[in-house]
Amino acid sequence: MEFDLIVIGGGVNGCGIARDAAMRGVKTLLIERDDFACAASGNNSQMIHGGARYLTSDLKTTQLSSIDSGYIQKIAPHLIFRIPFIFPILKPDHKRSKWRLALLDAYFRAYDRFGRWKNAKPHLRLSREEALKLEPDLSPDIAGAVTFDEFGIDSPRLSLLNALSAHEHGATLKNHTQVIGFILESGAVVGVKVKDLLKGTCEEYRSKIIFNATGPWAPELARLAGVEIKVRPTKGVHITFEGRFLNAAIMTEAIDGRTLFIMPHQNTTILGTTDDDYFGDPGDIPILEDEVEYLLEGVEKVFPRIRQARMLRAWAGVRPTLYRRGLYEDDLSREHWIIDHETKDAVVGLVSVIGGKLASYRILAEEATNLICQKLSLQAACQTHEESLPGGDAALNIEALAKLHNLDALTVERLTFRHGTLAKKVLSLLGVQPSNANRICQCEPVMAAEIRYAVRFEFCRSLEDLRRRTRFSIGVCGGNDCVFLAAVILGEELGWDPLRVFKEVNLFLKNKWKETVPVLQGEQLAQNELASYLYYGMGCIDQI
Amino acid sequence: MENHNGPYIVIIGGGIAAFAAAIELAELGPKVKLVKVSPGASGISSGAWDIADDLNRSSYDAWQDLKPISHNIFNLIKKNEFHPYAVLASGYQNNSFYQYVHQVVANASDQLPLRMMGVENQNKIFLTPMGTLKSTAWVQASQGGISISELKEAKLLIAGIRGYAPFQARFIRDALEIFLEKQDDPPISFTGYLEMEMPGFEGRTNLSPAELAHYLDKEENFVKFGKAIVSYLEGKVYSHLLLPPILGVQNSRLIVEALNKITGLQCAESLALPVSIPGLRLENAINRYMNSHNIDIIEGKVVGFEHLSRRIKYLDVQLDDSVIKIPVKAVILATGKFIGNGIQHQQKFLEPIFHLPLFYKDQPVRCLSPLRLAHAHPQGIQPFNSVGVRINAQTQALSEDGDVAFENLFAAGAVIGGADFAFERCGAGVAIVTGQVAGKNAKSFI
Repeated sequence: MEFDLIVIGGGVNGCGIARDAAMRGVKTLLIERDDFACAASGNNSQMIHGGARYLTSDLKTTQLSSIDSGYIQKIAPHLIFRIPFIFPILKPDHKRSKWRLALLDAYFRAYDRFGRWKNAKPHLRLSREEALKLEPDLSPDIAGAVTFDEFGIDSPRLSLLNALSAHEHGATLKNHTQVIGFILESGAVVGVKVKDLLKGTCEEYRSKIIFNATGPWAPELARLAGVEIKVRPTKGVHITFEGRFLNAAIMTEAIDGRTLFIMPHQNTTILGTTDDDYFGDPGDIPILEDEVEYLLEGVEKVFPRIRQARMLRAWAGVRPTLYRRGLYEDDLSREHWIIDHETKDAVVGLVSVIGGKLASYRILAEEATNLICQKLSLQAACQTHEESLPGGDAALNIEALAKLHNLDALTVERLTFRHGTLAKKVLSLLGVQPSNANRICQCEPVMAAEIRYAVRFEFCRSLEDLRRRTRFSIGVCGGNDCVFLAAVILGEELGWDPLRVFKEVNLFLKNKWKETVPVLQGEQLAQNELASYLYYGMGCIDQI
Repeated sequence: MENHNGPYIVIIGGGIAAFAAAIELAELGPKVKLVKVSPGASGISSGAWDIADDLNRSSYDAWQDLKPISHNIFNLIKKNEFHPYAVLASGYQNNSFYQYVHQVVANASDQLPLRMMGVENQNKIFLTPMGTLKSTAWVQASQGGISISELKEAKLLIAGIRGYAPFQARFIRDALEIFLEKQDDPPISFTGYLEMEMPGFEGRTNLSPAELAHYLDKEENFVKFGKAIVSYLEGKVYSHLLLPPILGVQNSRLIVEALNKITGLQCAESLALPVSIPGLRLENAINRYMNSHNIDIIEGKVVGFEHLSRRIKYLDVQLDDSVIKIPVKAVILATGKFIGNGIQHQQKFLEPIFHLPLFYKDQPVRCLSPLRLAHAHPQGIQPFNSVGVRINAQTQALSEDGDVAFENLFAAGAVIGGADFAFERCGAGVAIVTGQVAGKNAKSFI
C-alpha cells in the first residue's frame, strides 16, 4: 500500500500530525508500536498547563502553551476541566515571606496576560486566613498564598481523539505495530517494514514522507535510516492517591527548590513531578523509593495530611527534551524542533520531531503539517483549531440522558466526560444487549457497553489499552472488581478463548505490579492482600 | 447466664483463628470474651477452608490423583522452617502431626454451626466464578455437591443470572471445556450454560450478591427460583447444576436441598470471590457459636494494655463512646494480617496492640520497607505478605531475642508470620491449628 505520509509514533504529537494531515487531504498512515499515548503522552501531568514554570526562562513556550490551551479547550471541551491552584508561602521569617508573596503576586500578574487565551481567571493574592478557609488542610504555618488557574485533561484520551479524528478523515491507524526497518532507495527513505505485534505478521508500506514522532525513541528510529539525532530524556514520576482530598490544587517547592504540585484530578489526586536525566529503556521506567519520598517530603511541609493519604500507584513518563549539555533538567527548554533530514542530513523523505509539551501539541502538529504540505506541494489550510475533536461538538444534558437510559447520573457524567456527544453512541449499545448496562468498574464507573465500544470504535486490543481509554481499574479497588470481568468482555469482542483471557489478566497484573510496588505501604497493603487472595488464593490463575 | 467479673481469657479477633481458639475455651463460657472490630479476611472467604495445596500444581494435572494434604504440609515444612506448621510440628513424631491437623480441622467443622464438607487428608477440586479450578480441603455444604474431581459421566449445566455480572456462565463453561480436554478420563461428559432471569429481578442490571442472597432466603422465593430453572431446562438432560454463590445468607443448605428436589439435578454453588456471601455466612456462624456458648462478643478495638513483668493484666478496649478496662488471665491475638489490621504499616511494619516485633522468617523487619520485601513479579510468594509475629510451639509470641514476649499472650492465624496464605493456600488450616493450640494453652491460665 502507498501513502503520502506515514507517521510513526502514536503519542500526542504523532496523533496530532496524523489528524492535521488527514484533515488537509493527505493520505496518511499512523503507526504505533504499543498503543496511543502509552508513554509520555499518557503519563504526563494530566494538565494542559500554560507553563507558568517557563515564564521567566522560556517565554515562547508559555505563550504557545497558553494560546493552544485555549484552542484545545475549544475543540475538546468535554475532556477538560478547570483546576484552581493555590501557591502558599511558608513563613520562616515574616519579612522574607512577605517579600516572596509580593514577588509571586507580580509573577502571576505577568502570567495573567496569558490567561485570556485560555479562559483562566486572573490570579488572587490571599491572606493566611483566606487561604486556610479555602483549603483547611494547608499547614497553619503559611504566611499567605497566590492563586492561579490551570486546566486538567484526560491526556491518554486527547491523543486517542486525535487519532480517531484522523481516522474519520480517512487516515489508516495501526497500533500494536512496530516499525522494524525502513525501505531505502538511493539514499531516500521511501517506506517502512512493519510487524503486527498481535498477529505476528510483517508488511511493507511505501510513502512519500515518513515522519518520526517517536519521542524518546526518535534517535533509535532515526538510526535505522542512518541519521543521528539527540534528545536528552528526563524522567517525571507521578503518584496517584485515592479520592479527591483537596478543594484546590497546591503548588509548592521541593527540597531542591523545584516546583511540585498536588491536584484533585477526576476521581483521584495526583502528585508530581520529578525531573531527572534518564538513561534507561523508555518503555520500562523503574520508579525508586527515593523518588516517591522526594515528592511526599516536598508537599508535606505545606500539606501535612499527605502522609495519611492512600497512594494507589506511581507512574512515570520520559520527556524527549531537546539535547543540551551543562544545564539542570528543569532548565531544559520545552520547545520543539522539527528536523527535516533532507536539508540536515541529505536523507530524502524523513522528517523527525523532538521536544515539545502536551499543551502545545496542536501548534507543533500544525507546523509539522505545513512542512509536509509544502513537501507534497499541497495548498491546504490548517483546521485543527476550529474543528472539534470527536464528541467535542456540543454539550449533553446528563440528567435527561441518565433518566432516558435508567442509569445513575454519575455513570452518565463520567461517560460524557470521556466521550462527549459520542456518549449517545455508547449508550445505544444498551438497547442491543441490556447486560451492557452492568457496571464492570465500580470506581470510575465503566459499563460493559463502554468496553465493547472501545474495542469496536477505539482500536482497543488489550486490558492496558482499555485502561487508557476508560480509566477502569485505577480506582481504589485496584482492579479487584473489574479486571477479570473486563477481560471476559474484551475476550467476547476480540475472540479470545478462556486461556487467552487468563493470560491477558496475568499480563495486566504483572504490568500493574510495577506501579503498585513503589507505593506499597500503609493501608494499601490490605488492598494488596485482598488482591492476592482474589487472583491467586481463591482464583488460582497462577496455576494455569 | 452466670455472671462473671473476670479476669477473663480474651480473644482479640473474630475470624477462623478466633473461632478455633473459642472451641477450646467453650466450656469456660462467661470467663471468655471476644473483642473484635469490623469483618476481617474470614468475612471474604471463598467458602473453602484450605489446609495446604501442592505448590507445583497446575490446573491441567490429572484431577483424580491430587497429592494428599499431608504431603503438601510436609513440603511447606521442608521448604521453610519458620512456617507456622513447622513451628508447631516440632513436638510431633513422624506422621502424627498431619493426623493432628486433620483431627483439629475436622473438629472445627463439626463445631461450626454451618455445615462444611471435607475428607481427611484429601483435597478436592471446585470451580470458581473465574472459570478456574481450585483444589481445597473443606467447602460449605451448599458448595460441596459439585466436586469436579469426584464426578463420573456428569452432565453439568452452569447457570448465570441476568444482570449479575460476576458469574459469567458461558465463560466458566468454555474454560471448563478447555480443562476437560486435557483430562484422560474426564469426569464430566457434557457441559452447557444458560443465563436466566431471577424471578423478581427481571430486566434489572447491576444486581448485588447480597440482595440476591437475602431474597433467596425466603422459601417462596427459592421455590420460585427452582421452578424458573425447570422452565429453562426444557427436557434437556443434565445431572448437575452449578449456580453462583448467592444461595441465601441464612438458609443455603435448605435452598440447595429444595433446588435438588425441584429440578431433579444435583445443585451446588461455585466457590466465591469477594464480595462473598459464603464469607458472610461463615462470619455469622462464628458469631452464633460464641452466642450459644455464652462467650460475650465486644464490638471494640483494643487500644492499650497493662502488664506486670511478663504477664498481661488489663486490656483497654475502645467502645463507641468510652474506653473500658478488661482484667485478663490470658490473651489470644487473632487479629489477622493487613486486612484485619493485625499487622499495619505506618512508615514501618507494626503490630498495633502489643507492639510485638515482626519478622520475615527469622529476620526482624524493623525498618524494612514493603518494597524491599517484594518480588518483581506479582505471582508467587511475597516476603512482605509473610511478615508477622513469631511464635514458639505453644504459640506464645516471641520478642526479638527469641524469648517469650508475654507468658500469657498467644498468637493465632494470619498475624503469625512465616506463611503466605494466598500462595501456599494454607490459611484456614494454619488459623485453625494455631487457634486450637493458643486456646488450649490459654486455658491453663484459668
